[in-house]
Amino acid sequence: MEMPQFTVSQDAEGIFRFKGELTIHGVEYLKRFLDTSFVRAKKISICMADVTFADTASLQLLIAFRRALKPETEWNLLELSPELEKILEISDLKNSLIS
Amino acid sequence: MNEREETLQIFFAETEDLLKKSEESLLRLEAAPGPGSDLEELFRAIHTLKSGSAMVGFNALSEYVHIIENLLDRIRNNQLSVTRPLISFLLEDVDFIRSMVDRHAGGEDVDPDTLNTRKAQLNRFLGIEGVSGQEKAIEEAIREAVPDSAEDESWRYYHIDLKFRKDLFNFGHDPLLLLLNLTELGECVEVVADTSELPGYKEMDFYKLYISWRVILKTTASIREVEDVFMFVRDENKIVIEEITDRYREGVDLQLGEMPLGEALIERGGITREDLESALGKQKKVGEILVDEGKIDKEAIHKVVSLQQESRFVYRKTSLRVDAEKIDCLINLAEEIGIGLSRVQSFLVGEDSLSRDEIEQEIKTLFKVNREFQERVAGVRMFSLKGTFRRFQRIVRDAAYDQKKRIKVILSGVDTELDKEVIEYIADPLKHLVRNCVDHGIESPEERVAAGKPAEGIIEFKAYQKGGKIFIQISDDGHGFDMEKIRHHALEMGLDKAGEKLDNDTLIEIICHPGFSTASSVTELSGRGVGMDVVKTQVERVGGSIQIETKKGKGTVFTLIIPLTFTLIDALHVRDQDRSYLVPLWGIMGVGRFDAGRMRTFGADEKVYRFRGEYLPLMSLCRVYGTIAPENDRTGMATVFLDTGRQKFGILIDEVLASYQVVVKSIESHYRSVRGVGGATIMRDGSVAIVLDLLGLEEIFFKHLLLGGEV
Repeated sequence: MEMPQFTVSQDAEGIFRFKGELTIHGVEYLKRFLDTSFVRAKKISICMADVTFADTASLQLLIAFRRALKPETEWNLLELSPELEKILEISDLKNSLIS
Repeated sequence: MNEREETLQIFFAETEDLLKKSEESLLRLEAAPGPGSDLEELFRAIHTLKSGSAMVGFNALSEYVHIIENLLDRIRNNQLSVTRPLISFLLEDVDFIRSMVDRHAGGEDVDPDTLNTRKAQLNRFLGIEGVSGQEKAIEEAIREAVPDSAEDESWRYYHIDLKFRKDLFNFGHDPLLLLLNLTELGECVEVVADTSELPGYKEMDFYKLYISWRVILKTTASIREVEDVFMFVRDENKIVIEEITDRYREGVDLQLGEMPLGEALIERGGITREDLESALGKQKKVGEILVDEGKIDKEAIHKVVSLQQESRFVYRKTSLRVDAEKIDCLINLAEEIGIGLSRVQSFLVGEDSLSRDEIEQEIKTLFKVNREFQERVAGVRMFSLKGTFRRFQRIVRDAAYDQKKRIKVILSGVDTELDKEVIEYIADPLKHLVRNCVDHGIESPEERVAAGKPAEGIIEFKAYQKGGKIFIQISDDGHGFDMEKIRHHALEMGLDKAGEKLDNDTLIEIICHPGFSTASSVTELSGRGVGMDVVKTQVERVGGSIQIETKKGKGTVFTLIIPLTFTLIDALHVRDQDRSYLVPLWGIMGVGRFDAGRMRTFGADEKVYRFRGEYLPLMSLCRVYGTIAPENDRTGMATVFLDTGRQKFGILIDEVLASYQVVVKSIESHYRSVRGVGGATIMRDGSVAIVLDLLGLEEIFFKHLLLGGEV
């Protein structure tokens, strides 16, 4: 597994904070994190304020993960960084991840 | 015929089919307005017509049909209501398209003025009635939001489809970076990601790309500059770049306004075609609504739907183009005949040592195959009356609309088949009768109500087969012929039958006299003093006849009795005075030996012959035709009793031979029309036999009888 270019931390409120670049090199890591951290979670909150880049591979992984969630599971992608905001706008993937 | 001509021929034939279908759908749509199978069928026909005309290079036609397609789309999306004026306009459009196609067929261009006028009218439907208030408001808001500026003139718009190969990531490319590069050229005014290919989370290979994009780029860059963005991925991926600047005015995509909502959502809203189709599939159909409301049960709906499907299937079969299957079948039969003939020839030249029994069997098979071949050839010419009747429905609808009359059309027996040539012969006469019914038969709603009738009149088209004849009836429940007026006119025209009861024959004779008309007013449709004589002549030309029944205040029934086909009939071969005759089997009640004991005399020396419990007039065939005077001794002679559907009578002949299926050849083209003779055929021994025209024969027979003929 390649080393991810991003890190994950969790704050006191249980919100996960991604930091760095979400790229194809870290998708396996990202997948493992998603699989292990949110197995029975009823609420998933991820802060993206420190994500400076996300490529298509990681975005589509997040979208697929979100689609696989049970309807009752709450999904929150919080505080998009301006860079990520632009990426999601230009790729028209914002709705797939946020709304 | 070169390839271009061949393509055009196919196009013209298909277009006529499509226009007929459109016309029918419109008439049904008028009866049951709103989205549904009729509208879908109409839409498909128009869409196909649009593509077809573009394919053969008739661009003006294609563009015009495109506007109609847009209009139909609005109806599909409940943005436009189906109204009578709209249906009228669209029916006129069918005629207009037909005229455009005719002009193209004649090598002429469409008159631009007429075309522009029609386009303007069509656009009025689209523009005024087609846009809902909400849409108008949105359009206005967009227009207000986008300032008029000279700089817009230099903007170019590109439509870019980006569908990459799944392993794109392996080559170090990421679509996101390409999209970001695009933004450096200008503004991506629309970006639509298609994530429908994205598999489930557990199934997906996260090193593969599943998303595709459609982008509209507003830029001052040239297409080459845009293409350069995709320089390194272009060859291996589906990258389609199209300049669409013409679609835009003041930054607004005009084409979007013409799209149905569903299509627009696919283009802009990120739904997939599957999403749209799934949503459309959830729309309730009229049948479901009626079942929900308890108006009808499911069984009844299914029954009618299956009838509709059957009807549409049958109608499709009546295309002027012959099924390849039918042709294949004919080819197979022709091959079988060829093989059989070769066998017989081998036997005759001594190459094959077949026994007599074997060769007899071979010949028997040949006859059987040949008979099937003839039947199938005749079948190729047979078409249902559905198309003809539907056209009449249109005539009634238009005429009633013009004259502010309310008329319901009932069709029955529309699947009755008739020889194509016969249909062509009788189409005009029938059209005239239809117009007569609308113009002079059905009263105005006020008159009808005053007469105690429903305001809506009824015109019924009915067809059925009886024997070898087709009966076509056109009836109305109007005020019927004014017999007093007919009498008065007849007197004036020297056709006076004073004191006589106006029977069917007399009535026909008067009505069908050239120049006769009872119409007090001349309309666009009829009442010009011409027509009925032409109707009669035309019907008689195909060996048919016409009957009229009329009742004052109740209506009129016109019945055309038409031979099924010109070409192939089953007939009984008889001989009389050394001449061969073929009597069509459809009219034969029975045959027998002449028995003088069955002769009876009634009333004033009226002699008849008893046949199966009925007393029927009997006459020598040669006397009917006025050939040779008959011998007084009738011993051993044969009788053939006939029923034409109008009269029953018998003919005396020398000998009854056998029955055959024969191909009737016209003698009219080589000689002249002879009353009572339907044509001729060549018998197996090479001799010529006359085919009797039973309706003509009947007329001559009874004329002779009135003049004191025998028996």
